[in-house]
Amino acid sequence: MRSDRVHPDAVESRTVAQLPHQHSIVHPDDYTVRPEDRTQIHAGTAFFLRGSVLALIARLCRFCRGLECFFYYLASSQDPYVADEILIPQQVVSYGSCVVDGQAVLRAGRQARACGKQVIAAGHSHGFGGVYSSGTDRDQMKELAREAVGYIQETSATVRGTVHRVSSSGARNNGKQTGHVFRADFDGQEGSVQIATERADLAPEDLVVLREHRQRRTISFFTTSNADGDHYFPAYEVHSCIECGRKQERFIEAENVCVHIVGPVEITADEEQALLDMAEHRIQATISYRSTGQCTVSDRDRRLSGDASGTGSSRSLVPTTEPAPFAIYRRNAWVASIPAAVLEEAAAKSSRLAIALGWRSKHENSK
Amino acid sequence: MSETQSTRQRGKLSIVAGVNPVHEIDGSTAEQFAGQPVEDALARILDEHVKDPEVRAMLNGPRVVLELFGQNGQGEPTEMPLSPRDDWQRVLDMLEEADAELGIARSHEGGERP
Repeated sequence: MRSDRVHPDAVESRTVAQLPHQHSIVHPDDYTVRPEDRTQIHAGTAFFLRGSVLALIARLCRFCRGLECFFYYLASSQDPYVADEILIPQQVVSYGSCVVDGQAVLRAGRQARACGKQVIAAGHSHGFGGVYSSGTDRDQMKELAREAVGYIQETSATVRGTVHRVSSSGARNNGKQTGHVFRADFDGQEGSVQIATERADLAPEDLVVLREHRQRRTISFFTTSNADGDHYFPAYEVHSCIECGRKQERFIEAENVCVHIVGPVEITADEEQALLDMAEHRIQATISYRSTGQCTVSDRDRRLSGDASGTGSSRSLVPTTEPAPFAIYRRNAWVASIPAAVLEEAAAKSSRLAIALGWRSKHENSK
Repeated sequence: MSETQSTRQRGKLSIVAGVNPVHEIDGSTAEQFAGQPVEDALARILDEHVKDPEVRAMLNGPRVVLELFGQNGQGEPTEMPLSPRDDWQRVLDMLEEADAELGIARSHEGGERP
């Protein structure tokens, strides 16, 4: 049955998913974004997407099960405030990561533009793990902001500088003394401007030093979902000075972001089919574990190790039966996750652990 | 530069960092950088037009990967890896056919595993 399709390397997990609390509002199908909505989006307190997009993400995460996956949110270039489609780039995934290499990122951007769309955000799955932003995810949010993926506002403000007299004898202009040299500091940047008074009797406190200050505020979104249907939509704000590059950054917790869902959370059979076809072609698992406990290597790893032939039948990917990484929770808060590779290594040394994980039966152990 | 070259109509060059374009220049502006290495030309364009130090910093990494995308003589899309030390002329050649994109590759990554 089509709706049961899963990635060939996906596996079940024993991880307990945690449900975050995130405010959401459902709008009718014909809702259009209002000026006040845009203000919230630019403030990083609202994210708009069509219900069909949420349904596509949920279906994609179910398809990948324990594997992670990466996707982009697309919106029409004419109305970039509501995500109305997702795009799955070519990627390499495992139970703990999803990586899109640089050329695949460029191709994804081109594909979006060719359809009159633009990438407005990105998201990924944590498999059966909890939904939150890991350190890698927060770094990705910064990267998206750097690439101007998200919502950008440029402002120009007048900044008042503080003035210090730096010469005691006065400045000279064509041999004529015109006044003292002052240094104006704007926003803590020393020595950015030097001025000379026209009148020697002008005191520093008489000077009003103003400068136009161009700033950019970028709000980027990198969301996390999982195969249990949980979603987490945090935001990242970067406030930067366009001239000097000084910046302030802030992670906005999902609890402070309202998710606006436009239209019903459903997809047609054709949309589902197209999504799963795209996922099957573009999501490549890097590593899987044979039932014997031996690690197998993907085509990509073969290329990296210089074995381009890809011959070795023992290296082919096979459907796996081992569990995805285990997540550890303490008082309902995520503490850590243990990758399957680490568990496997430990299980090889401890038969009791292997039995507890279901990787080896008691019967096998007694042989 | 010959008169023929200077008066030839070139396409537009879009500079893309990662997934989104950061700047676009027309063919005549692109011609000003003839004879320079790609990285120097790009640095000047970003310095003069983009201003944002974050975007300019993307060129400073030791593993900068560039890619040129455009159309060949038959009008078919073509991707061409570009070394930062390549001659800017390769970009101008691509612009003779049609509009082109010069991409600064940036990998994207997410993951639960630290």
